[in-house]
Amino acid sequence: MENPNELPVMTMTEYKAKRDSCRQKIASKYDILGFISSGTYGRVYKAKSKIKNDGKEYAIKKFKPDKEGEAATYIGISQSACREIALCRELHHENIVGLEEVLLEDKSIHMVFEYAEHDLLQIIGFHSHPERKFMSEYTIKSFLWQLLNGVAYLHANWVMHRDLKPANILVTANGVVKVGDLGLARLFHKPLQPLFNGDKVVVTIWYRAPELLLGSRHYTKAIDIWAIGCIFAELITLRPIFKGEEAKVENKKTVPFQKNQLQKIFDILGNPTKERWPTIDQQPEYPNLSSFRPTPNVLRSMYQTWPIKSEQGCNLLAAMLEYDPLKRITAEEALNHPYFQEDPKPGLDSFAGQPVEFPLRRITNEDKDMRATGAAPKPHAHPVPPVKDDRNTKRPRVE
Amino acid sequence: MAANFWTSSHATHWILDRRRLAEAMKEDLEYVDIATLTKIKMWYYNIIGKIGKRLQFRQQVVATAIVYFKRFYTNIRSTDPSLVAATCIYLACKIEECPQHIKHIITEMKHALANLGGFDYDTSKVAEFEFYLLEELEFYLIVYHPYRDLTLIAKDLKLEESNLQTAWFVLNDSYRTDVCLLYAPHMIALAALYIICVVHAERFTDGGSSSNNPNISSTDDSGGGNNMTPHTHSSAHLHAQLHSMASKKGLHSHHHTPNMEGHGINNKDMVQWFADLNVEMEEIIEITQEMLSLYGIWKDYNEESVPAMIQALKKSSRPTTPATPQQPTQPSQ
Repeated sequence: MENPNELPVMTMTEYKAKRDSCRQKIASKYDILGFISSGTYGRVYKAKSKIKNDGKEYAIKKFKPDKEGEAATYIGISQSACREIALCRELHHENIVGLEEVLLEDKSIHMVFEYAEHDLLQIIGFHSHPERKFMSEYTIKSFLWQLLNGVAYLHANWVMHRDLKPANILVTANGVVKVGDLGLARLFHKPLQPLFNGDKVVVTIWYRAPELLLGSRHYTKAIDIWAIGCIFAELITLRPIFKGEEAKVENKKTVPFQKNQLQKIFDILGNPTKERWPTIDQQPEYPNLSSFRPTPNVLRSMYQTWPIKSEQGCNLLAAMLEYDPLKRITAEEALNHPYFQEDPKPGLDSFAGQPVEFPLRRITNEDKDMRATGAAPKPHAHPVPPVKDDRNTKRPRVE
Repeated sequence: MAANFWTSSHATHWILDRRRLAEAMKEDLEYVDIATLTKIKMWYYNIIGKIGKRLQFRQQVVATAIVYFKRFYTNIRSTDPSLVAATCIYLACKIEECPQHIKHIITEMKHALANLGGFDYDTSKVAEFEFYLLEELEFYLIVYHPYRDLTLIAKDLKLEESNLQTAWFVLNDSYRTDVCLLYAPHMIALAALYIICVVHAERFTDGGSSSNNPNISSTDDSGGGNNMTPHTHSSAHLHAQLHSMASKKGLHSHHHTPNMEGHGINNKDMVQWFADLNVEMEEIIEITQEMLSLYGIWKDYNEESVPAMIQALKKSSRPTTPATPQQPTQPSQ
């Protein structure tokens, strides 16, 4: 006789079969036009809807299954995919990349995003090669305003992006900025633990705020503004403003002191002092600052040599690159900065009046995983290579 | 979203109406009555709560896991709730930013079900099932909870700490009902406050046999600790009182704020405060009734008897007795 205290054995076969049978195949909904790029998370494909006949294009992000150990046991959806799905499912804003739907196939999550033809890394690259040709102030200002507009929406909804950099700022063919890649983003309203406990390293090194470089445990949304300041400068000069060398992580438990990156920042902004940043002595890495030689703040004199002449532009840049996170301008304040009241005023189409035609995102058919099913992509005069940009962003895994 | 409940997926996709909820429970109710089904579900919520306690989760993580469990369930009969529960915990930990290794959760599940046939799923089975869970949740993963609303209201009302705690326990209990599938979190928070007002009023009319406040402040699980285990010392007193209310004619005739005076809460202010609220008082009464109905069922809940009930639900091929009069989720009058 069976033990009345034991639970009956229950199989899920029937349930699973039922669910599996009503799941729509990606190939029945989308034509895969080609492969765009890959990264630690997985691969991205360009696609077109088969059902909606609106000609709209999509980027399908296929996540690699999260595996661990030599036996490569599948251990579920990665933390980064979880965050991206959870947040993108809630966020709806003109300047945040829109999530159309999430599909399951082949034991992988597929996120279907609206397609963006360009990104700032590619646009900056296009303006830098073969010879440097600066962007118009209108385009820069429109990019910046829309980027701030998207980030202000994120911050108003208690979402911190934590990985703003040119490669993650997408731009549609119509010149509309779409903040993308929310794989490191998270809610920061009353976190259950200090943010530091979750992810030891956030933001790609060149865009990483000084409080992060000094080991701050309770950093704030101000880290995103620092990154936007760096991006603003890079849009103007086409070179990263603080191009430091990352000290490599030697063991997983300790985070190395990023001396070189801090030096690059100090070279331009001068050393941070207690006057400029009253709580700097509370930063864990503060004792390390004594090893830096004193340098002056040369941001304004450097700005004079740049192609944009607006003094308000310089004021805004300085306000975003403020050492003290408490004094740093917020996204909302930045949107109302006098710089945006001056001519040229920012517009919804950042490319309006642009004489240059940007190359289209190159897609290839080389990928064997999701084979192109649609029409072959049109060749273009200025193909850009598929972007592989995992550079320096750490996606720490759960220990 | 996070700043605005009304634009969240929780508000736009996951507040169900009673008809849809009743429809979902229909099949199970062909086999067992509503009280039994409630107990079976309660048993699984308790498992989630116990694991949360052992792994020292904050209350919010347990609450999110329970909400996933509820959202998943169309019916218990055709799936294995143990696997669903484990997967809900695993996913909730990730979404609430306190990820746990999948192996820890499996170990805890095995421990919790040790004398009950065990938990016969490995890492890959739980990980695989996460896909099905995500799909049932329609990939909407951010859940709002009433705790934050309660804290804000309590601050606004300058509510005494002990009353806040009592209301907090009522919220914990609310996860054993389906109110989180039916009402907005702030309404549930208001109902919890309403219930503690009623408790005070009730005590007054009973001749004030007890001290002013439920005897709860001696416990250590304030502020986010978890007390999902039924009848902890902390809430036993409150429960006893609510049980007795549930069995009396109770609240159903009150469609106004009970008259309370001379108790821990500044009752005159409370009466005025509820009266001034621009919310559907009807909804608050409905939530309160759900809660009282729960306490009624809880009164004769016996942990040990539930596995037999689960067997009955799973094994019976046809309903043996005509299903009890179906009044899904409506409290018995």
